[in-house]
Amino acid sequence: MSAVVLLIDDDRRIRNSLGRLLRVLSYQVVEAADWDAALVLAAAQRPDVVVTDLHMPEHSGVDIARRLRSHPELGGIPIIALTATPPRDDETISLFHAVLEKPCAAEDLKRALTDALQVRKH
Amino acid sequence: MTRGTWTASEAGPAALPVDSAALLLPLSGALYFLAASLELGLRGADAIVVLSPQHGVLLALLMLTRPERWWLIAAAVVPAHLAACWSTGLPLWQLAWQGGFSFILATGITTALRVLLGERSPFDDLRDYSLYVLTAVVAGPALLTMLAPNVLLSLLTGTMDLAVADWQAETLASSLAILTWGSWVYLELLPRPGWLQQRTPAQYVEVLLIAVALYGCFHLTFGRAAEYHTALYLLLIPLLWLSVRFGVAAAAMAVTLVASAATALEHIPQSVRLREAPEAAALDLQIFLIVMALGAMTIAILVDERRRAARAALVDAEQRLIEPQASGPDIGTLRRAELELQRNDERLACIARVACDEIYDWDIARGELWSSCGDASNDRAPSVRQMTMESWGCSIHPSDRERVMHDLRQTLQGTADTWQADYLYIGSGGSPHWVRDRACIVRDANGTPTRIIGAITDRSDHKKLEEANRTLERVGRLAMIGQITASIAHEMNQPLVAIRYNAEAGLLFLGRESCEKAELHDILDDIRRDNRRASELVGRLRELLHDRELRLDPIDINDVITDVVKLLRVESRQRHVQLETECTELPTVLGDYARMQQVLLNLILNGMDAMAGLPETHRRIAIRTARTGATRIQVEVVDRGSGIDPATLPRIFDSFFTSKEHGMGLGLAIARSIVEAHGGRIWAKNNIDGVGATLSFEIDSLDSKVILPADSTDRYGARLN
Repeated sequence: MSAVVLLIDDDRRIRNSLGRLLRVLSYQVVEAADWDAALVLAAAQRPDVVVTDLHMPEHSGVDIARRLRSHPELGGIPIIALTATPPRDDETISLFHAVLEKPCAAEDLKRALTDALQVRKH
Repeated sequence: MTRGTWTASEAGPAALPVDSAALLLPLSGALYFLAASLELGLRGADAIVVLSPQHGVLLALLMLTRPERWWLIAAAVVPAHLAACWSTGLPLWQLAWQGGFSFILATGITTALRVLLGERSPFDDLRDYSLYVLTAVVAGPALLTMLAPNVLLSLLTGTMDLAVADWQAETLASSLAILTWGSWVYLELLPRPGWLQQRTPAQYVEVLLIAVALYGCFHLTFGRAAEYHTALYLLLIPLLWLSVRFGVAAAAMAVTLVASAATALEHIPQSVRLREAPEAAALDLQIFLIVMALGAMTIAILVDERRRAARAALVDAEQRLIEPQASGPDIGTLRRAELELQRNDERLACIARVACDEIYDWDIARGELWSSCGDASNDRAPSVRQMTMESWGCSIHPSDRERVMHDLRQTLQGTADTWQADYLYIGSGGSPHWVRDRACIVRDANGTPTRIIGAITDRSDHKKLEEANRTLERVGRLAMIGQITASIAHEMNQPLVAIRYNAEAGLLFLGRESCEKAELHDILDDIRRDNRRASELVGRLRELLHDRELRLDPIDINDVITDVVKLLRVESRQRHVQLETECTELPTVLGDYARMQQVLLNLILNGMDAMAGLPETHRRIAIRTARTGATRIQVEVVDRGSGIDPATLPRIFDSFFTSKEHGMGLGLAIARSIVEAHGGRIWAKNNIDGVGATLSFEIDSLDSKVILPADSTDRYGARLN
């Protein structure tokens, strides 16, 4: 059974294209456009890994990561950040399993996801 | 009265120049004494009286003097008469009678003339002269000489034949004297320029020639050898010549001299003499001299009268030219119209000088150009010159020539009745300068253009200002774009990211054994759509950055707002400002999409700046649209910041006015200039609830069909397509 990826991005087109790529890479994808949807889906679907955009209106990817990390049940889900302007402070970086520059190559994404899933299994 | 062909000839009432007793007494006395002495001297060997100058002189003096002064003349004449005639040896009573007769004759005739002519001179027109001749030359002497001493004595003694002969001789002598001496003395004493005054040298030569001719003819007529009556006509030639050329005073003098000289001769020549008897021959001479004098004087008066009438007509015409009459299509009206035209020309030239640089009227059909501003050769006065489309084109700088000529040709071919163009004009000075050419196109009934009437205004200064404005605007625009670089980069990156993921997915998809075409089609379709999105964004950015003229298209302001909010997404997130839109459906407006984006960007960024010091949760900007009235739309940008200081409120749209530490003071000024270039207005006010301010602008919708004001297009040189 393929792993479930929660994809968070406010831009519909990014969600569509990245969702398509993830599906081609044989993942199950659940998509959320904002903070509320992301938390609901995370709780409901219990994804194996979260892939999020960092820059979004109202609540950024960093906010979501913090919230998930502080969650007693969801705190262990690895989160991969996708951003055009990667954060530089360690505290933010430490929230994520990986920070990938947007857009990233399919292999890099695959590698990061595989790696994250490995960590998750352990 | 003048006696001249060329000098002014005036008619008017007679009045002796010297009216004082101190001068009138000696003048009258002296003249009378001379005349009476002359009469005695003129009497021939037969003692026959041919001419009585004293009657003429006395008549002239009385005619020139007011009746209440006649006693002065009488007082002067009595001793003069006695003094002159004392040598005749006649008894005193007879001398007194002679003097008294002379005075009665003169006063009688003068009184009659005063009744008939009033103060008028009898020599100014032929009608008055005729009355003068009838009264003073015919009736007066004929009646009053009956009172002459010798006539009355002959009557009293019963010698009727002698009485008639004496009456004839006395009458004709008086008539001749009044015709000659009377006229001459009167005309000489009139207070008018003498007939020899103000003449050209050629005229003096002419007078001399006439004098010589007169002398010669006199000699031929009255010389001892003159035996033929036809010789008499010779004398008429110089007399008429003088009369025609130099007027009545000259004629009076000439006939007086001729008559006096003829009378003074020892003999009566054969040419005049019709009868042998001395008395009869004297009568013949008198009749000849009277006819000669009458002829010459009549001609002179006639010519003077004509000359005066012609001169008066000329003066009248000149007067009417200067002071035109109120009615009638006469020469005055024409002159007035001409003056009006001249004034219009001056008016046009003055207006052209202050309002613009040149007004022109180009008759296309005739290829003639009237210009209020000629070239240096005619002192830049209005001029007309030949002008074809090609020669006109030569006055436009080559860089603009094709564009402007094409534009004018297109306009002429169409139906428009106005035309406007800005171009580099090469004047007669040779140095090109920017001008604005605005013209009306006059068309005939078929719509064919016949004339172009317009004005050219120098725009060099304006062009420099425009350039400076553009530079300023460019600086402001770049500064604004610099502010939102992160937003722009994010917006640019989004479709590129989507394309990349789709491309990666597509490649992986192709590597599979079971490749569904439909899926591949979806991927490629998404790629194409995202690419278009990226291209559009690049295009709009280019528009925003590009320094070009205002371009007006039908646009929906709500679309502009959506795009701007998207563009500011990253910016607003970074500044923690929440952007809210409350858009109602709007009619289409005529506007420049990129410039309108710029206005909104400036207004929203200004709002963001205003809220920089607030807690993050309070930073909200609302963008609202609404219809105002039937044809206008309004956009409001409402912030919740600290508001605007009421003291600076009127100045916030001024260039270089800023309340920010690092602001340039260009954003709102540029927003205002763009809105005004769209024919709209922009304003700011503090919110009623005391929190923050609202910046609003409104512009006309396309429904209003409002043509942009000329000035608003100036700033960007925009033109409606």
